Amino acid sequence: MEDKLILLVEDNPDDEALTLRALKKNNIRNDVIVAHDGVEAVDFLFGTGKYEGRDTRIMPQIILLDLKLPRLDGLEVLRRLRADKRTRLLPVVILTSSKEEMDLVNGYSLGANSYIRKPVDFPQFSEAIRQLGLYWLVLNEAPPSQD
Amino acid sequence: MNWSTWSIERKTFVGFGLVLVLVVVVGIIAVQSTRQLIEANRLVSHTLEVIAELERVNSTLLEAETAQRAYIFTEYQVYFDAYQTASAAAVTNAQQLRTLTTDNPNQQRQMDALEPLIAERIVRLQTGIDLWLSDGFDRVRTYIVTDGGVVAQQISTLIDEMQADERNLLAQRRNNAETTAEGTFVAFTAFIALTAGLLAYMYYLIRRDINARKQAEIAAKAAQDYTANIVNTVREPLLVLDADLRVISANRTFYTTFNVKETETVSAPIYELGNQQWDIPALRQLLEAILPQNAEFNDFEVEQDFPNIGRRTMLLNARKIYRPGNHTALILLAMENVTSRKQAETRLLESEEQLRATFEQAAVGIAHIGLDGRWLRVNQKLCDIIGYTSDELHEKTFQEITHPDDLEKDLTYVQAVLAGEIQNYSMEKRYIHKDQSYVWINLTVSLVRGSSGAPKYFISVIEDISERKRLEQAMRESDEKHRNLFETMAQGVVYQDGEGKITEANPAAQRILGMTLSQMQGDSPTDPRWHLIHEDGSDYPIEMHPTMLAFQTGQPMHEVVMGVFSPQDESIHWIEVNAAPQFRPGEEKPWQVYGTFTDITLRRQAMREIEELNAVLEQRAVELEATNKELEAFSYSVSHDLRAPLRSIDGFSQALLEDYADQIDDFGKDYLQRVRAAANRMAALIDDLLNLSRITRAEMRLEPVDLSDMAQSIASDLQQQQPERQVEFSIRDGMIVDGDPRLMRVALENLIGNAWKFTSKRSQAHIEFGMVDQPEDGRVFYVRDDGDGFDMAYVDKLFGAFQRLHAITEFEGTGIGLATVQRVIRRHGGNVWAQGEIGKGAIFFFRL
Repeated sequence: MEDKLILLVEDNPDDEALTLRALKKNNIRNDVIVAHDGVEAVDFLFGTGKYEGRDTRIMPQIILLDLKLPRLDGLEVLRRLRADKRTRLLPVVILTSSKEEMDLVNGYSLGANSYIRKPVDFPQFSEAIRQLGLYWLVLNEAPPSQD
Repeated sequence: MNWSTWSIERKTFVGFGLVLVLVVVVGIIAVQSTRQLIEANRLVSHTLEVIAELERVNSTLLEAETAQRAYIFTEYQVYFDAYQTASAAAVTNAQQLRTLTTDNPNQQRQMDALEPLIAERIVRLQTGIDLWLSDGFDRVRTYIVTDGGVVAQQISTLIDEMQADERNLLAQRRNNAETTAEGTFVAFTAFIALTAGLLAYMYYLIRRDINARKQAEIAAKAAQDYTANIVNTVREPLLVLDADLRVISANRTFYTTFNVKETETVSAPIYELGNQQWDIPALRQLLEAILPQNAEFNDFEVEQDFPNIGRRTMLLNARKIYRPGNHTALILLAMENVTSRKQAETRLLESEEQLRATFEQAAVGIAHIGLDGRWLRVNQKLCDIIGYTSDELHEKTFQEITHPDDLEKDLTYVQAVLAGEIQNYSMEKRYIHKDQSYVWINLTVSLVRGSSGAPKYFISVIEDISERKRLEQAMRESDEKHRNLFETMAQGVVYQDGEGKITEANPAAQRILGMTLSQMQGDSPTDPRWHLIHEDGSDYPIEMHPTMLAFQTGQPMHEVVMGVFSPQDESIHWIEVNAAPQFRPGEEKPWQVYGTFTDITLRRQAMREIEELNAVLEQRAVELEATNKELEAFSYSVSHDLRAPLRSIDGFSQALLEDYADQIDDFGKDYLQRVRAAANRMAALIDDLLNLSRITRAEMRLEPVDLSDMAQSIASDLQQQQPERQVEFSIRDGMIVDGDPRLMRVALENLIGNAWKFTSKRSQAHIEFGMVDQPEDGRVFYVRDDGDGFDMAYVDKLFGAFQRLHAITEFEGTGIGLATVQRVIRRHGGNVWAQGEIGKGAIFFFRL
């Protein structure tokens, strides 16, 4: 269970705190790596930059990806993930504030597995995180690891 | 029975019969008489024989006596022989006499006496001899003297008696024979006379008959010649056939009619004549019945193609006749060549049929009209024209169904025709149709006169010209329209004839070109400064004018632009010229060209202005697009960034409430809840505003949208969200519109969502989505609920953004929903309106 990493890509510290709180409240105890912008996320996944030398055989079980990010936005991160054979099958859930049609279309076009709009109401947000964790970490079978 | 009427045969038969009977009767009588005469003569000669025999007996006895005496006296032997011969002869004669008189009993009795006496006498003579011999002569003389005489006397007496008797008998028989001979003579005389008479009469009769026959034969010959002449003169072909139906003879007409020769006709079976054309089963049956059944037939029609002469129609008559002389039964077959009559009849029938058909089927109405105006005979077309049946028309006069305004003229013509002033007349007039409408017709009337010249009836030919009248009217109207158009149209029109000469120019053309018609035609002087220019200002030679070119090339010219310098106002009128040549069928050169001139001066100005405006608009559009882009970026930013703080506000308020519940009192908790509620309402407002903005910006994709399906799905979503609500939906089926499916769904979600929301206080609610089809407004859709309704006083505020008619505590909501609905409907070119009453529910209408 602990093997199953969660990569949370989130620049807003409030959202980060609230997401982690929701995970905790729902007893989701998996390790959570937080990337604060797109570059950090990409570095983690490919073992570059700040994560130079990381064992990239360890990949997150689920990536929770915000769209509006400094430096490299979420859609660009998704594009790069899907372009690399090591990460192209990784489950990616877009977790963002907007439900602009443009974002939805682009997100799914680039291969997002799911699109969740963060509700303002925290109990609803918490419920969403719970279901998300249950589904992607428990129910869903991860793709075989790629080298 | 009348002799004179008897036939010669009968006369002859009866005559000869009578003669035969008479001859037989008289013959029998004659034979009888002759036989009697022969008998009488036989009796006479028998009597004479008897007398002679008696004499012979007497004489032989005398001879015997004489010889005896001579012997006695002379003793000559010769006398003794004579004596013996005579005595033997006497006996023989006596015997003969007995034989002769066997028929006479009286003489037989005398013979009975005579014969012994003769025997006695012979014995006595013998005795005398014997005595002589024995006693000598004396003795004998004594003896002869004493005894001899007595017996001789007795014999002689007896013979005398017998002779006397015979002589009596002879006389008697002679007398008898004489009488008989006389009768016989009479009988023969009568026989001969009668026979001669009858023969004479028969000769007369036969002679007469022969004469008659000769006369008859001459007459018959004459008659035969006469008949032959007739037969040969008869114009009908005749054939005489024998029992085997072979031709015995044919008359001249037959040969000429069928163009055949006697050699190929006579003795040929009729069925083989003329290439078997007569071999017709029905004819066979008739012909073959004639002789056996003594039948005849008349007018049997044969229509065949005959060799040499072609198709002919013959009427055949046949009967049995007898050949003169030997009475052979024959068939006389007479033919009548009715070919030309038949053809004439056919032609007559056809001609009558044609006449009838012409009358009945003529494309025009035809009628015979009595002198009093009564319809005597009408054809179907006429009935069709005026709507009456012919029976109905026979009860009417033409005056009755003629339009009153046309009657007088018609009657005047009728009088003129009757008076012989005119032969016929033609006029256009109106009949009153059975349905009381007027029918325009062209009437042509002529009068039929009898052989005496007296008028009999009129022949009227009636042509329905209502269509022509309509066309004429239409053409008049069309002409008038055309003329009005020509006179009043803004476009100039000029007609040029085949010589290039302008024939007509409408006022607009005169105005646009700045010339009068007479100037155009060269009849009036034109200002020399008047000229045409190209768009670039160069001179436009009149020879290159489109109408001239159309003339030369025969091709139409389109939208040629040129300027007309008008000396009157010293300005240039820009015109667009079209020219079209017009051709008559079969002609290569146009007979007319018409040119149209449109004054485009103003249009050119307007175009220039439009171009300028377009440039401005284009600039504006670029700016607007930039603005839109900004707005989009703004919306995007809002959607992402404006919500994040709200989430923090709510999230951490909740965290406070959860993590520090024991340190915050109930007021504090309430405040935190209010903070959270405000944050959430703000989020909702932002969403709705973004929605509204998105709807305004979104591109429309029109396609058929099933509103009924869409409403059903929205209703079931609502019921799923709040299964505890008791709401009955009635949604009409099949409401399909052309719209953008996403936008229409937003509108319906708002309308039905509103109805759902405002009926939330009802335990039983009813929401209806339906449609009325109104002739003037088209389809109007509506959503009706029986919820809380609204006050019509505020109906104007209903569709404004952020306008709410209810307190937020009463019904949640941002007040943007109906504004969104209105945007959607307006973007579809429709409108939306509402009716309501507080507590009674609301109804929202929209039309696309």
